[in-house]
Amino acid sequence: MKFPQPFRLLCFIWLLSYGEMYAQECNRELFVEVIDLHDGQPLQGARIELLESKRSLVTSDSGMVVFLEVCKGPQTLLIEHPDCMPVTQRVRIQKNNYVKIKLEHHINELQEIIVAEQKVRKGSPTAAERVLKTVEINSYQSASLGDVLEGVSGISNIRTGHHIAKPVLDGMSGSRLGIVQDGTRIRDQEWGSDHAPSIDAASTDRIRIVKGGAALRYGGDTAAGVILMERLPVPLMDSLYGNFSTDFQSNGRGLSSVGKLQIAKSKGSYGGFQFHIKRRGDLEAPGHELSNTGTEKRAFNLHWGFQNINRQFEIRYRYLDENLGILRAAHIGNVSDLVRALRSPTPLYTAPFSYDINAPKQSNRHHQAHLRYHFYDAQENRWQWDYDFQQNTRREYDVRRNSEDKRPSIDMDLTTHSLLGHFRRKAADLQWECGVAGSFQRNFSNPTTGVKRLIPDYYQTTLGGYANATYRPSSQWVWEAGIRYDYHFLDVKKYFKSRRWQALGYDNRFVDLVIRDSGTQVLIQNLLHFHMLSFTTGAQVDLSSHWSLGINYALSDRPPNPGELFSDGLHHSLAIIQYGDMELTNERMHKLHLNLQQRSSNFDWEVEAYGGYSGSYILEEPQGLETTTRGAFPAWQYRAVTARLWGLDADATWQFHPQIQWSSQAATVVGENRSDNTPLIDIPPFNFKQKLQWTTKNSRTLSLALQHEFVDKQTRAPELITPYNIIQNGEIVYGSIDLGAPEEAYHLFGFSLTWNTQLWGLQSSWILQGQNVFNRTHRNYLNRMRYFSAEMGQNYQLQIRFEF
Amino acid sequence: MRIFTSRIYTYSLLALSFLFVLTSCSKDDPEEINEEEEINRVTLQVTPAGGAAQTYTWNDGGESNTSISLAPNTTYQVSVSFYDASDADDIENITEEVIEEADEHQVFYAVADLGSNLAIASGSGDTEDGDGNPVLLRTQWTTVAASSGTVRVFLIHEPTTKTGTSRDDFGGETDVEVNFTVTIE
Repeated sequence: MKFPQPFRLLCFIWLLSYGEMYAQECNRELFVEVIDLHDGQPLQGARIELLESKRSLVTSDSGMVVFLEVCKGPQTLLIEHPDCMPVTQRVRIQKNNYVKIKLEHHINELQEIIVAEQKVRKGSPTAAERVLKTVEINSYQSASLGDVLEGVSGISNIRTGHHIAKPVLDGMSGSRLGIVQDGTRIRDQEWGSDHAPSIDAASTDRIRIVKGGAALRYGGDTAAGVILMERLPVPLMDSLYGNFSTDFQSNGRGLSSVGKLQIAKSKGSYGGFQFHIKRRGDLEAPGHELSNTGTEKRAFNLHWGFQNINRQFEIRYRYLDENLGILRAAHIGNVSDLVRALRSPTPLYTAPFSYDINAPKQSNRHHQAHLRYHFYDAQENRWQWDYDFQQNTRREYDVRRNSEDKRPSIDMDLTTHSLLGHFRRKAADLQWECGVAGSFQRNFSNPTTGVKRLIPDYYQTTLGGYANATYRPSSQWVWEAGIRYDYHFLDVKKYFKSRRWQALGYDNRFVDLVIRDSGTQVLIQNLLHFHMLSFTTGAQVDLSSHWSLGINYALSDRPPNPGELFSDGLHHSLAIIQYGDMELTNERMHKLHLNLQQRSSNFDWEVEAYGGYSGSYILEEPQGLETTTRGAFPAWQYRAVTARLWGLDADATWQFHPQIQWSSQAATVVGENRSDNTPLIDIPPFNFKQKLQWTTKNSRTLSLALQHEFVDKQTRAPELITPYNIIQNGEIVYGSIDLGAPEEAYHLFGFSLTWNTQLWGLQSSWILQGQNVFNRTHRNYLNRMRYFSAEMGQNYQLQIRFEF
Repeated sequence: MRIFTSRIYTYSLLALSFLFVLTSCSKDDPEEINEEEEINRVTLQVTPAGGAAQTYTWNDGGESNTSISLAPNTTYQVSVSFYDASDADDIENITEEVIEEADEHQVFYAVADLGSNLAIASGSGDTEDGDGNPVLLRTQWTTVAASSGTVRVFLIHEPTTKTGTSRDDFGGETDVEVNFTVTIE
């Protein structure tokens, strides 16, 4: 093979380890491919030695070698080639290993090795992190993102029915939990507790959960943490691969299909397409239908790019369209209706099974277009630029007085442009990164709804910058410190009812804001400026080859979101009136995370403790009753309190037999409103999950898993006493209900049977899953529909999947 | 530092300032929305046989006149009306909508503390739905002896049944629930 000189010679080594499903110690395969980057050809005649086992192989003309029966744990590779300087590289053979090594050779000059993408870069080197792999995501592909995430300890969901699931991490959700897809935050009106993230979980290959506010690159406002949804890198070689799968669900008679196709060329260009369609009808609780709980989804994404070892350009477009039915019986007029619903063991409205989705429902659409360019400069520093456009359209349909009126009650368009620049300095021990981020956002509420805007029209501009340094004095220690500043400018125009404007005393205090007064309504313009400063620091130490300990402190600083500032409207399923407070200021939270883990050959465990404190924690609370023609309504108001949150998450995996594995996870969190000495609302109760999995010997042909989930009763639930009076037998009867009352504890059981086989020359998987197999009636404290109905009953799902 | 001289850095600053400039452009004011789903005025027009009509009004947030005086042993024709009076210059009569969609609506009167001294039944000129059930927009109130109590007027949307003796019997959701006090003397 000829190497042009005096050009720089780049040898590209591709390392892949198979066998993530193998449980035994020394049964892994290590796949090594050596490519000459300069012309993209496989590099023949490279000698690769596995130092620990003193085995060596020489690459064939395909540039590949495969080591069989490689042991788990750290391994050292020595790579030699007549035209390259010998190189040693340490590789950790583990689950899901993916190591890409760039070898750069300046003829007669210094040579260096860059570990370009060693494994996966962590969101923060010192914060606790969990990863959901492709296999785990695939088996839940028809589920919502929230359901997929429940496979991680410490994550629960605030639900509105079954399909609308909003992830909660460490007791916090919404604006406190950032969701990042391919490097940019999802901007989808995340302030509403009944707004599920506008994301198709099936379109992602890997999900990482960074707990705490340490991932400053993605924002300084995420006290709970960040959910990073990523795709696996596309190989730099001629390839065509993809998959197709179909799911059937018994409960709701659902059907969904997901397909993916990826093409890549060794010259560097690549492209791909992925789609997901889904339809499911009314779900069923034990003994009765949950009418109007069907769902429909259409999602696809396209991407095209060009890459070589130094640079990558990519353009991507994503589309998601969802129709989500909301239990019909949950659409109520007033508190007395809610009292009737609470007294009835089954929903007050049921109809025979149907696929139709009528009001009340949500219809959401999300477009995302993304441009990215990154390159490594001569000093191997990484530069990255991203432009991102997102448009989120949310339409919420209530039951209208006139059944012919098909207009939505809420019709909002949120458009966001973001520009991000990221720089990472390459260094062996002290590595630092910094970046800038700017965005421009517009919210538009369609006035033709004939219903008062829940969120006013606004323009928001943000500018921010961050810097983060990671210091690795030795292979055992990692230190990290980061700082971020953000500025948000909000330009809001909002109509207040004159009566409310006066009742709040705003007519005296904010007279300057008024730009129009029509007599019954006042139009104001409010210009709000927020400055946020967030900070993180931490350390991670490997105490021995098995033990490691991490500590991370983060100060997150979050501006109040538009919902908290300006909400103004009636919430039908809760029979409440919600009011924002435009005088709220930043929510600053201090949070400390500690994590301890032990990894050994057959027993792995990890435990994490955290505590958070905020003197300006924003929450929503009942503040008296308002009498309207519909009767009395509790009015809920956003306000800031002093709050404390602390908790424990734990995971354990025990391989007590070569073919049998037991794994479990548990989480508990306590939230306190210190201002009022009451518990915080919507805090997940203690939960525990365990799984016993048996796999056939030496292959992954068949596996059977039995699952158990326990959710305790939330003993720390704030009381939400709502008084009412009804006329019964010719007399007015006065009473009250506690809307905060927790639900009883429950156990659920399930199973999963997987069969992998070759079919028509393709790798196929057949997965049969059962959920709530004993059809147990249960209600979930975090589900807003719990007043009206029980949770979904038993469900069986069959998934057939082909890889090619 | 080298990065500050980088061309890319300059371009990004330009782009960010462009975003910033965008916000200072002039924008139209949002349109005013008149709540269309709201009923904020309920009136009862009470007419004794051969007498003059008297109107009682429940106004949301405004001045109300909800104390009804009736004479014993008398029959009254009572007609209920629902309005959207958000705009004083353009008061909308929602009662017409209820009549048009009679199948989906039902008026109900719950009587408290009056015992058998007040009986309410469908009156002349009442609207009937597709199944011939009276919607109770027009009712006949018959009084007996002197007493006082409450009449709670409900407008129920999409009731599960259109006949019943208490609010619970009807199901559906409550569009209107207002109290009128009744004194028979």
